[in-house]
Amino acid sequence: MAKILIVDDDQTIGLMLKDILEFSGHHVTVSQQPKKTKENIKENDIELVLLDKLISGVDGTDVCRKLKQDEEVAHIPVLMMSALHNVDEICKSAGAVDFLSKPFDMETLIEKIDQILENEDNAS
Amino acid sequence: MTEDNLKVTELEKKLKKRDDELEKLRNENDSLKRSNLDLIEEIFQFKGLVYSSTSLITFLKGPDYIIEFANEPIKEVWGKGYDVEGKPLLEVLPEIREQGIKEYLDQVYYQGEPFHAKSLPIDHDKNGEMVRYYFDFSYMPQYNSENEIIGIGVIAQDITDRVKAELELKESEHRYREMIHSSNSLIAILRGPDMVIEIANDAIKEVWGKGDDVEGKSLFDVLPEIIDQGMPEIFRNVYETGEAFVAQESPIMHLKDGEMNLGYFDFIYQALRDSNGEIEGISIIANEVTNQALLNRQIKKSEREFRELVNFMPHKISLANAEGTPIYTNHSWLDFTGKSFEDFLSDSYLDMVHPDEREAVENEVERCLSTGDNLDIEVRIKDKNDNYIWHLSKATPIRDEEGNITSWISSSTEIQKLKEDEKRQEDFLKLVSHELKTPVTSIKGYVQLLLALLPEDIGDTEKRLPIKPYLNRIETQVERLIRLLSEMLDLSRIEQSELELKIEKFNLNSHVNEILEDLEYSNKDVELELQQDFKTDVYADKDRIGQVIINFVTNALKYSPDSNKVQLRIYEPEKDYVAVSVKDFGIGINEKEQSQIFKRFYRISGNNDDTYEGFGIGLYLSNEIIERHNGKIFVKSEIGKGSDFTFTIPLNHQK
Repeated sequence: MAKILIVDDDQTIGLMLKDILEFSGHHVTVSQQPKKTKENIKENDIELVLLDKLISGVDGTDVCRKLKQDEEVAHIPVLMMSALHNVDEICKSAGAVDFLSKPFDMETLIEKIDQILENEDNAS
Repeated sequence: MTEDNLKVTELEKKLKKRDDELEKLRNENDSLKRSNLDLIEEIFQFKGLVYSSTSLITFLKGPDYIIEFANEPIKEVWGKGYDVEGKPLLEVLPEIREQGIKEYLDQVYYQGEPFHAKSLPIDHDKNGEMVRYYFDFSYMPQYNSENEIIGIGVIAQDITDRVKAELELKESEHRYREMIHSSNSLIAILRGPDMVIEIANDAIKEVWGKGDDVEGKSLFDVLPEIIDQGMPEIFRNVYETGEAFVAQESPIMHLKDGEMNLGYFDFIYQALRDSNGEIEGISIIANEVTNQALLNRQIKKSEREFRELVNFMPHKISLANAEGTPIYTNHSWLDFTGKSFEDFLSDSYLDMVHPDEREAVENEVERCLSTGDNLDIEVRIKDKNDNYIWHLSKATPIRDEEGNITSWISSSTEIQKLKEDEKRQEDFLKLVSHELKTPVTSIKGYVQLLLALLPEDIGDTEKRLPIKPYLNRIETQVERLIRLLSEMLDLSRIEQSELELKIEKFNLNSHVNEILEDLEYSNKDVELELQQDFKTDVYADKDRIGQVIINFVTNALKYSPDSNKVQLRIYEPEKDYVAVSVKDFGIGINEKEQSQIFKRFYRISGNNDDTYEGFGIGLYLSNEIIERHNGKIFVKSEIGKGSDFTFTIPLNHQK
């Protein structure tokens, strides 16, 4: 049970992700505005960000990198996702804790999120 | 006394008279003796003359022509020994009996007329071999003091050598003339400054077309038409300077039957000199080469046309020698590169190639030059403004009759626009598949969410509303859609050389097992057997290798409408390599198609032209993936019995 922020410009994906994650017991906020990610994190006390690589012309890796450089939110794990191929390394080097390739299995998504949260718990 | 005195006187008178008579007789005797001596001397002189003469001399006596005397030279000619005197001539020389000699002798003997002959051939039997001699001779009747014919004097000259030499000379001249006349070459001999035709053979007369009767006439009287063609000057120059005049394929007009005929000739006019080295005439030796000259002109014309054709083409055409050094290029190349013909031939073509392709192009060109394979490459070539423009460059060798390469023709076609279109198409494909993935992701998510939300047991509702099986079907189709989208994306990556491998170490056997479990899960009815003859870790792209295996297995199932059995085998084909084979018992692939199936968009058609799902790029992708692992992919198949697809890869392809 965690508070998760989904940043994706595709509303359907956002809603689908919200439905799945809420089904598995999380509290989900969906945003289509990547530039407001930091505010969203702070406002909603977010514990994990699910961030798309490409959001209406904005590169998700830039967003991720900015978050990681910002002391206030740098500790929040970011899971990046994309329908593009071969971008997992780029995303990870931008600070993403893991990467999810679209389209994915619901099971994989839930597993990855659970794993990240578990690691966070162990670390803190 | 007186009487006595008288008697004495008488006696003295008588005595004196006798003395006188005696004196007279003595004187007569002396003079006779002297004339006898003179005669003997004369005879000796004469005999000496006869004996020492090189002429052939014999005296024949009586009607039987007994050899009374024969000198040495005649005995040698006869060749019957030296002891022939006293024998009849015709016994000594029986061979002349048939040669009419006796008739000549008889004529002289009985009619008293001398007989003279010149160059008379007589065959003499020399040890059984008839040898021909030639003689000039005279038969002369010999008379006694009563003016009766008592024999024949023969005096002859052996002129055999001279006659033979003359004959040979005649024969040689005859041969020489014969040679001239029968020659296919056109030959004529001209004498003197007026170029009088001494000899003209049939061949040249035929070309001149002025009949047979040309000897003895001046060349220019016979062929007035050549006067205006500069011939008199040429002949005069040869005659005056002695320098030969040689021409090839020279056009000359001859007036024949009132029409001017153009012919082409190779000829040589040469001065003829007498024994003192003075020029006395000119020999003409010529060959008519009209057909050859016309052919050459036709070839030249054809060559010019082809050259124009080649220059007119927008394609860049060049010709190189067997070593690949360019020797000709068309205008298109020069226009494109802005180079002169000479610079184009001397500059290195590699300098015009984009640096990124230079090494690959050089290697491929070298390979083709050494193997004789056709060259077929896509390459960027620098234009005169230093822009690199995509070209399709092809080259093919030209071989001689023995199959040796004599030259290479190459053509380069600009494909810049094609390349750009291709890139746009690939980009579009990428965009499309990316855009399609987004809705697919959400469909898949919701299907899976619904399946997760659905209670295990919905009781009777299941019968009226088969939600779960339908959702499962939707999920299967969505998976298929995703696979197709991935293939499309992979294809565009291959085309743009973006298919990169992520090499990691993994256990191949476990990976294959996992894949088979997944496949069995989604294909409930199939029987997948795995034979593991070799267990190994590999350094490779795990997902890509999995993709190939999945492709092999799904193909095996797809093309086995009547069988659900697929046999997999992992084995070691050679040291440091591993092979994975996938064998099915389906429709099989004929030999012709076996070489095609690894090509893009190739799809196997069934017996009834059934169509099978998919884009036909799975094997093409598999081939690319395995090639990038430095491996090999191949198929063994028989129609109606099934197919066996195998790939082998090195255990560590980076080594």
